[in-house]
Amino acid sequence: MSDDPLLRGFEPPVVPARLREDTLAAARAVLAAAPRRDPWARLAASPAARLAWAASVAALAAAHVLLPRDGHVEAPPASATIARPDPELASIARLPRIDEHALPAPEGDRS
Amino acid sequence: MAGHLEAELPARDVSWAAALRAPFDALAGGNSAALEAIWDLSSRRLYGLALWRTGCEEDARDVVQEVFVRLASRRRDLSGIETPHVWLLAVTHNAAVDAVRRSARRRTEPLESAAHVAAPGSDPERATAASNTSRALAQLPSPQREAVLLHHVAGCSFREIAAITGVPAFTAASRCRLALARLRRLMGGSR
Repeated sequence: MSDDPLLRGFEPPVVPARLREDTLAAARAVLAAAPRRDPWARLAASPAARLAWAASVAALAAAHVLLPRDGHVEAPPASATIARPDPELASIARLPRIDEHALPAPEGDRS
Repeated sequence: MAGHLEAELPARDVSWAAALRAPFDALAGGNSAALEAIWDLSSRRLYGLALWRTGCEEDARDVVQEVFVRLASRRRDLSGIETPHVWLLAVTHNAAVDAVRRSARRRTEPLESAAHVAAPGSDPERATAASNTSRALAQLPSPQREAVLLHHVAGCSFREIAAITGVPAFTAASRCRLALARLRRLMGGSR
């Protein structure tokens, strides 16, 4: 163990019985277990996930090719809304007091 | 400084450290039989370190099991480890420190019944001496006891002890010297 006079002739403590079997069995069980893979590795190895990934890429590519690049929706011309205003909205918006064509109230009529 | 101190101390047995390289590489390659070779080379020293650090046989058993489970779970990294014996002892040290921390609540007084050293053969006089030495070792602070084991039993240099325990090499050397001086005082009557 050591050449120091205090420790000369001694050995390290004896390992308890069954510790060897128990320890090696636990270590072998860890070795035998399937290695744990990270989520990305599992995703790459999954056929379903790979198929879904390929389908989504194909759909994106098809959309990129088929859809027009400047195909934004045309807004209706502003003149159309101005030319034909909704009559109901126009009547609500028209204030009687500032309407040029509103007749003044008769004299003495304050009701 | 550490090299100077080591020169004053007796030679150490480092043969087990070199012998660990081959089974470490074999285990890294998936050879589970290498576990037994590693056990045969290191188990008594690892168990000794765990026992000397924790002072409890039950904790020491758990620590050794934990070390080998970790060894198996990290087998892919083993080939990159330069000094297998330092790695094993460092894992054991860390597991033992954790075990002491966990069991600090349930333990009220240090256990002095653990056999820290064993006497080879069946000589009753040597067995008595081993028992006396074990009792004296049990009275040392666990960091000092650990330094003695790592240097005199596991054959580690003070630099390696520093790497294992996370203290400067000079501190490791000081702990070792203080431990031996105290051990001499404690065993003054029997030596």
